[in-house]
Amino acid sequence: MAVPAPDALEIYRTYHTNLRLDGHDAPDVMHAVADSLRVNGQAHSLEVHAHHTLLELLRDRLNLTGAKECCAEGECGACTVLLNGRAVNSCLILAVEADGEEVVTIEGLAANGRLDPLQSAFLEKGAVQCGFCIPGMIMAAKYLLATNPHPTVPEIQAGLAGNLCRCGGYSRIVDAVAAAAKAER
Amino acid sequence: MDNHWIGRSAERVGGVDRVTGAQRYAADIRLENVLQVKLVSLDCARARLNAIDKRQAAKIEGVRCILTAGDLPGSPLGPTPRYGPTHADRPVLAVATATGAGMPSAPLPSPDEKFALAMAGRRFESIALKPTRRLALPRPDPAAGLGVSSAWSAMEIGDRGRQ
Repeated sequence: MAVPAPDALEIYRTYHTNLRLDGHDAPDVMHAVADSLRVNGQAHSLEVHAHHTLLELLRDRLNLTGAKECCAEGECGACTVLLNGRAVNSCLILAVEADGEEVVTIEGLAANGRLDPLQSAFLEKGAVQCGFCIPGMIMAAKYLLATNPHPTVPEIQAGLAGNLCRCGGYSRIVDAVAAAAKAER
Repeated sequence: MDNHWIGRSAERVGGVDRVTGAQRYAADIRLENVLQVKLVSLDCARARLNAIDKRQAAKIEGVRCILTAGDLPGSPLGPTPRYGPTHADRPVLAVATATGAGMPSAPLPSPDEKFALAMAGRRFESIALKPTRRLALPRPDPAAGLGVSSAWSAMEIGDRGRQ
């Protein structure tokens, strides 16, 4: 006999109950994210499931699909966004945790049709191949340059260590970050 | 002569979209009124597929059709489409002798994910391990989901470690 897998509804009910025991009394495990959540400078007010991630909020609720869901467990960095200026894997942050915080995604970088220097450098250096990792790469690089405006190559490599590129285009990506740092000097 | 490419870099097609997040990949596209497809997978490594009984699944409300390998058009590599030349031994849907655990045997398109959790009834023999044993499957339960479907459901509630 094939062994039946655990009953998904049972898991869900347990999940519900545990949340209630933890003192969450919102009906149907929905939590309000007040309008103090700011994404790319815009305030948002919406209800989210307690277990939804910031990435799901961005992609599924706000239709900001620049941040990618790839591994969904913090391995690949494709979902990297800035949370209060720090690069985070948005797949590892709960949506409710972002309440009251400032989020910047790849869509928020280019202002008035002008590309961010990092975006221009990625284009100029040919650092973009399939492009799937690039939003995460650029956001991670944004944080790197904010904290270390003139990184050495090893520092760039370390700064992007949590971002994987399956095309394997790392050297041009590193070149692009170095060029952007130089341009801003 | 037009030589404007000499001495300058070629622009990456789609480059601007890819550095601004505007590029839409398959997972970024949202469509309305789509059918959900549930792939029913084999749960043993090697098996001979004796029969696929579609009747149980067909009874479930919302299931529009049940496809098996026999319903697919042929391809140059074989009677059933394959995962490209490098995976010529891997049909997209299981054929008579299945060679991979998790190989989908029947996708069930349904407009509602809830119904898509149903499984098609299948009968197959596990060749390598127990040549004569027929694996019976639990009765399909569209509300709970079984096997691979449960894995999907558990992920849906944000608990990826449970399965």
